[in-house]
Amino acid sequence: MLLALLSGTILLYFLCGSQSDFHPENFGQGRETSGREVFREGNCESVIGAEKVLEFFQCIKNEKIDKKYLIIGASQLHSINKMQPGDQLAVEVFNKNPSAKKDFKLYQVSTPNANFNDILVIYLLSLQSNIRFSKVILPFVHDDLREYPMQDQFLKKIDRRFFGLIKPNHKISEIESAITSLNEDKRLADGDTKLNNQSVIEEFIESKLIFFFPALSYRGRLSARISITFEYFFTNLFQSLYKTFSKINSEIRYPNISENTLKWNLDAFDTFIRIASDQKTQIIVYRQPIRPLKKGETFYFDRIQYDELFHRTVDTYKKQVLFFDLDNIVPTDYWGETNLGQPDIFHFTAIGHRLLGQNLKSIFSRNEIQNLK
Amino acid sequence: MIFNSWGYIFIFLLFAIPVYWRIPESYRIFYLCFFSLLFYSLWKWEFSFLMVFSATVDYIAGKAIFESQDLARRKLYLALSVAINIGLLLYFKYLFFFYQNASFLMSVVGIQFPPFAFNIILPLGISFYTFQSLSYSIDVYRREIKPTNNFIDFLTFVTFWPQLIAGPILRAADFLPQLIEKKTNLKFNDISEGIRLILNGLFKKVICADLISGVVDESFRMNPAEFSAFDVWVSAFLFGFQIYFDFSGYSDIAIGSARLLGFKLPENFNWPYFATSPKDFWKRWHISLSSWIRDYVYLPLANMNFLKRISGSSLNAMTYSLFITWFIMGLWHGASWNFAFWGVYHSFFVFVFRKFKMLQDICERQKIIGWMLMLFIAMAGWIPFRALTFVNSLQMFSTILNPFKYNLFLQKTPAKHYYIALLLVIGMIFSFGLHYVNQNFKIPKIVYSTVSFFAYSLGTLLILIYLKPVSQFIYFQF
Repeated sequence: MLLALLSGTILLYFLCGSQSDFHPENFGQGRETSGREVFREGNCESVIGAEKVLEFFQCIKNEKIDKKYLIIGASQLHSINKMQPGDQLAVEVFNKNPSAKKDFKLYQVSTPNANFNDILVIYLLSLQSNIRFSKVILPFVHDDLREYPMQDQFLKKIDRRFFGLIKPNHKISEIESAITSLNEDKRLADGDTKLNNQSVIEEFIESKLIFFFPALSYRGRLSARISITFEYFFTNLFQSLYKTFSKINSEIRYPNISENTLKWNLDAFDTFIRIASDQKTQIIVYRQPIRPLKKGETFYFDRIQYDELFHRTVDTYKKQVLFFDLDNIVPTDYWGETNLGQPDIFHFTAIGHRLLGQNLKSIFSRNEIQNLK
Repeated sequence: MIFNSWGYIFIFLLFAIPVYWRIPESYRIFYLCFFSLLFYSLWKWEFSFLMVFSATVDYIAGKAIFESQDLARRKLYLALSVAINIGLLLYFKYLFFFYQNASFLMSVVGIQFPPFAFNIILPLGISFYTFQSLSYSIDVYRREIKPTNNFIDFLTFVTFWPQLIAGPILRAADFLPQLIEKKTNLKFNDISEGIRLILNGLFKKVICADLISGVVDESFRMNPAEFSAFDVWVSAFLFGFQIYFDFSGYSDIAIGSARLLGFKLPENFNWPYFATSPKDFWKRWHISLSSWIRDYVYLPLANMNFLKRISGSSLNAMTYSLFITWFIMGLWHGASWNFAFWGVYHSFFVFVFRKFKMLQDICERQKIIGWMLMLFIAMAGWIPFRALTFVNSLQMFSTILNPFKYNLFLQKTPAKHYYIALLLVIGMIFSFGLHYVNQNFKIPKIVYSTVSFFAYSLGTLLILIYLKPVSQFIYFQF
């Protein structure tokens, strides 16, 4: 038993040491797809996730630009398939300005699997940071409406007192109650069950272990690698068995988005529009590019239902929002693959970003913006 | 302090235990008592006074009960001990629950209770150490044991760190003699068995329970009204496995740690999901609590003349006692109607199996049928235990009872949940098979040692990879 204990520990050290090149944060975006962020001192253009979002807004605030625009969305905005040195995100393409005069700039906040509630929270964070964007751009896509629940990391950054500044008739009760429940969890964790003093001890021991055995700092990467390998192996196996036994074929679609989740997300979209309109911010919504089909392929979701949903949304909000359809702008060849080896319908290569950036730019440079309806 | 942490490994396993064996024997009890209080204080030191107070009450009550020859006085001392212990439990654990329910009932008749902010922190493990300490006074009252004359011995019995937070619940008659017993050096077999149990427990907690917890949380956060019956079963099975790995993992580490200190604690789990009837299940699941409840609540209630009188017969009294006991057992787990429902759910099946002897006989003779039936009964029983609200529990139960909800196209939970549940069932059957082979066949020592070596090396590796700071056990909240 003692020998097993010792060999397991030695094995850990060697396996951890071999993980320095593995980046689990890129894995969820699909095969050979990685995230790009442009946020360093003196240049804030895009940020991923909640960790640095408030610093990002502070940086934007400090920039001396006349017209500041914001785009908020999910991983498509920050992911590049087969990224090469020099590849750029759509937001960078948009901001490329050959003339020396720079009177506008687009900023981007994105987070994987963002839904409209997350987008609303991110927008509220920008208001909380006292930034007034003249335009806010949102991608609209079927799958983001499926996402649930809110991402805690963004919620945690909201100062509740800030809600007093938002008009009382706006439906932000969902966010308020989510924050209340977060605070309650925190209270329980602090007072009731979490071992406060123990956290300090744990951090101390962990830091000392890493100091003496630096390879242990890759423990997280090793655990991620094992989990990912396990998950993808069994997901593949399960899906093929499931399809075989249930006789499910490519014509059969995934279940539609549940009505509650769809309503939950569309309510947040509605609240977003009301608040942004109050702020005199112009709202631009574009239908997010998804991978066009090759011959013989079928959509895994109900395309007709999605089209109807988009057109219904356009009808409802056409007075307050400018809608654009960028659904088909990136040809099939410029998309990645999922980790299961299937076509990735959300993440494209740098060429896709160039096309998206150019399309956004042409929308902005047009004198008359064409409303879909 | 929680077991699945660097702190426990370094401070308690690698420091406190080796030093324990190096100090003179006469100091060991003080040392053990000190580390037990330290173990608790690393959560919130203020609450260790509450635990010492509870122990002091029962220590004094025990002596007073034993020394008094007058039955009325003995009863009075016992009543005092019970009132103080249960009073503390009621205050810390149930006050808010009672207030909420009273305020709801009063609002029905038009009386509004003022809103009241309860800022009461539930002391960790209070339900466990209260029961343990209380049983001592009751045993002394029943003249089953003699009280100890050494307060430190008694305090160590109540606060003994390996089992302080979540059991196994000890009996004074079993543990106090072990404290007094002279201990020479630790035997190699104890070291090996202790480490084996700790590794088993850490594996169950860190690898199995913690890795399932994410999918369980995801399942139970979804709207159960949209679930198919398969979704409900998968969610119930996943939580059933999570709570088993979590709690039995804790018990294994507790028993293993005690073993390294030279103490033998009772088993708390014995393959519960292979039970063939409700009675069998409760002889295998949380054994120390089931037997505690049987000896200190169920049997005294069933034998109460009052209950026999109002129920009309001894048999009826046993049935009444069964439902009352399980209701209490449910509430013991938490101040919520979900837990009470869970208790009554189990008492219903114990009652049905007792009432219909034929069912019990079939399940005992046809073990596969008994096992399958009990597995589904036990797993469905976890629904109220984990559901976010009482209404959610009822919705989930109505789904599994609705034949039209058994439709794969209504599936709402991700496919991942399905295959994890399936893998867990396969893993459970496989590991039981290995256990069976190990128990019933003579395996050559070289084969056993080689397989054990690789299995425990891999287990250690995975534990060290996945050990993350401060991920607590489910049963801590009880």
